[in-house]
Amino acid sequence: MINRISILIIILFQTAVLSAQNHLEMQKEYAESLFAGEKYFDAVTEYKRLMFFDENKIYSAEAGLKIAYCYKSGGKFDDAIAVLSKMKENQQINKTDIEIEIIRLNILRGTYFRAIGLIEKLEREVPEKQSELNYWKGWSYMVADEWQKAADAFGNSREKGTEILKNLCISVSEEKYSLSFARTISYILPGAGHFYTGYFIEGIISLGWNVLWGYDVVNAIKADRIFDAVMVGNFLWLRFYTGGSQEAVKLAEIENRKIINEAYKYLSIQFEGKQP
Amino acid sequence: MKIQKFFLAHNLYTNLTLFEKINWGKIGNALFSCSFVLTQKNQKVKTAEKLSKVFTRKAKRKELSRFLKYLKGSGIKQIFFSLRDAFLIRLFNDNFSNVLLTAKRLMLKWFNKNLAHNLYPNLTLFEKSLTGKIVFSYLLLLTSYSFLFSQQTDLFSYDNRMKFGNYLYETKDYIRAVDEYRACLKINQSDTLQFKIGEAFFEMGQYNFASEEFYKLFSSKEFGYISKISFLKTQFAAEKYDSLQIFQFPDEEQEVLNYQLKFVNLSLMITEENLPGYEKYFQPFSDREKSVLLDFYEEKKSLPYKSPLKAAVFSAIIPGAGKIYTGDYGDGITAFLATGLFAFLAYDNFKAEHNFRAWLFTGLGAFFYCGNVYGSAASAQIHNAKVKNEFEAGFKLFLKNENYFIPFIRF
Amino acid sequence: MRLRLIKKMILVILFFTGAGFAQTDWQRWEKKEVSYEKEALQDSLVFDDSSVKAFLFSTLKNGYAFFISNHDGDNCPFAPTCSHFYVDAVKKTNIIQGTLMFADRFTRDSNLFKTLEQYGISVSGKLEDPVIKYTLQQDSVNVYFKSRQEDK
Repeated sequence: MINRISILIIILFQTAVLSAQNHLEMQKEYAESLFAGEKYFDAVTEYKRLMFFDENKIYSAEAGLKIAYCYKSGGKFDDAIAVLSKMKENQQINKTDIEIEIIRLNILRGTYFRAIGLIEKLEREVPEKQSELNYWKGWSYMVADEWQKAADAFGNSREKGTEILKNLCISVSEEKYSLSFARTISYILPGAGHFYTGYFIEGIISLGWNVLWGYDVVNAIKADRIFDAVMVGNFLWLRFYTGGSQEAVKLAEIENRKIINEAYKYLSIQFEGKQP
Repeated sequence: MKIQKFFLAHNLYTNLTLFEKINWGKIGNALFSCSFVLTQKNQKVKTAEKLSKVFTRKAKRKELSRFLKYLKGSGIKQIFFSLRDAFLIRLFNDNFSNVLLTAKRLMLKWFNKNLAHNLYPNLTLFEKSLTGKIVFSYLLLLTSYSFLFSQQTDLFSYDNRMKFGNYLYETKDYIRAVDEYRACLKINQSDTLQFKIGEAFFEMGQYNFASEEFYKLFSSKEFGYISKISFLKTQFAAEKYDSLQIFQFPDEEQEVLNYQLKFVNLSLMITEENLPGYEKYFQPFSDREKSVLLDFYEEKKSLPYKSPLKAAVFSAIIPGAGKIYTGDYGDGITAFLATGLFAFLAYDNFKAEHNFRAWLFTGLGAFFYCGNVYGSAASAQIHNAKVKNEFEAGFKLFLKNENYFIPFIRF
Repeated sequence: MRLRLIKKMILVILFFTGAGFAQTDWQRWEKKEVSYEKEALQDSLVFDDSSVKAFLFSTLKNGYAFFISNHDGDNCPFAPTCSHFYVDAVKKTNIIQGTLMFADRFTRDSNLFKTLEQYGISVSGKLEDPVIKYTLQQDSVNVYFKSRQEDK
């Protein structure tokens, strides 16, 4: 008799077991739903809660990675790198993947020298990831405003989209104005540097000043007023002469900045390949 | 599922004793309604309460009282009733599996030992009639007992939220800690959590929110005194020195008023140039506080201010002397050299009868001279501002380290 | 003297301990779009048309910059250059006080021994020397130094 009741009770429990779930799994699902809904601040809270109550550390690796992704999406690159650096000792994740993720975060943060350093270190340690590392090296150089080196790096990579990026780098590096060229031709003919970068009015003004003071100095030398010639030459002509070439370089930098900003806009909005 | 269970009960029904058959219908109905509800997800608590009433109605009170006498003791009776209600409410929560798993394991263990099977033939008729109910009640107690352990698996329960909130507070993640504490406060009022929320806002530097939270605790028994003092602390840190003086606390507690006086005197160190006398200033402070504050008091009285008027007069007599008086040595020497150079050039040209040039150099010299007089006065003011700012910054940092002479609280 | 040393030690200790704590999560943040764009280097010809006087002064500044000082080279180590300083000083006070301020600035410019500690470093990398420091109003000077302390 008791056995029958016990069987009944067991059946009673079985029905409940079928419809129940582990509480940690549910917390993980909740956090993932927040992450998918782009509510990153709240997602970080829920992942932290999962990690706090997970005594057996089943979910700590996954949750840690997700927290880093949340910080990345919110633009908090320092926090993301901090979280990932702490996770490097975790056995459950591939260390190389974390290193590559840290490289990508460094690119996004703008600390490209560090990214390049890390890439070179990884190239020595993990030679089989050559293609992917060269891809990120190309990105680092692009963000560092060194387009020729970026094109070379993309040449060594076989990831999807490297062709487009390589062509972009080559075209940008050809479009950019050369600063040394602007400076040199400005020394030869004051104002030529301005014309090179397209600022015609400023070029004419600079040329005008130089011609004016040059004429004054020459006249002073001709009339044998050496002291006056030296004064004018030093305090006026020289200032406008060197100032002109300085200005030409500055204008070339302004124009270059406009060119690379356009390239960056293309990268962030239209480019469809892997972004850091 | 429902059909299978019903079928099984029907088969069992024929083998039960007469007493059990009479009562089985009621007990069985209650059981089946429970199991039916278990298969549904997300039942609401109202259903649970209705069901518990059903159960009370179904089981006859007389039999229940007999069983309870058998259990011996009124303490167990109370536990039994509360556990029963709790069990049924808990039944419809999603996080139930661990409860049932534990209960199931325990039940199987019990039955595996075959204790009851061996005992049963030796029980009296009275006990035999009650066995079914004893088993069921035991089952109830068992599941309710394991329910008590299952409290821990609800991550959003009061205790768990508080634990998580404390962890976040320790790791300085204050906004999240405040959210957790506020969720806890909605369930249960707790002064400790309210105070911690205030402290969290204070640490973040959001003094308006902090003072609001401290204000809510003014009438608390435990935290009334400390919250009033912390309120004063936030007003001081937010630089609202006027409100420190004029704020009226609801009760005229002597210690709180003393603290208010302390804070007012501390603010004087920042706002006033001339501090009141030694006795009057240090009257509200204790001896230990006096000894650490004495250094600042003396320093404030003897801050190395430079007078702009003196600097201008010095510069008028000797160009550059004013700037040297203020501490700008390089500027002073340059001004002296420049004015001196132009004065010499002017003198030289006057002697050599180059009048136009001489007047030009005189003009330039005068230009530098007047500029220096003005600049010395400005430089004295800059020096004063630097000194004052450094003193204030050091004083505020010192107070922050001492937690404004408020005793540290261990939570 | 000893007090100042203690204060400096407290500052140093707090700096090193405070630097380790995450403070970005003290404000809620939202998703941020990715952008690699750098700050555009602009020519600073901005006409301030809030009032007639401001407009005239800004025209003066911009005209002087466009025709003369852009071609003159980068000769001033201070952040508002001497000429801009003069125009700002005259705008803020009157012409006599402005001229005196300019004379003082010229003197400080010719000082070969000026240090970074004396001034601060501005956003553009030059020594910061704004006009409010020299207007002979102690309150504004105090406020200026306090805001610089808070920025640190």
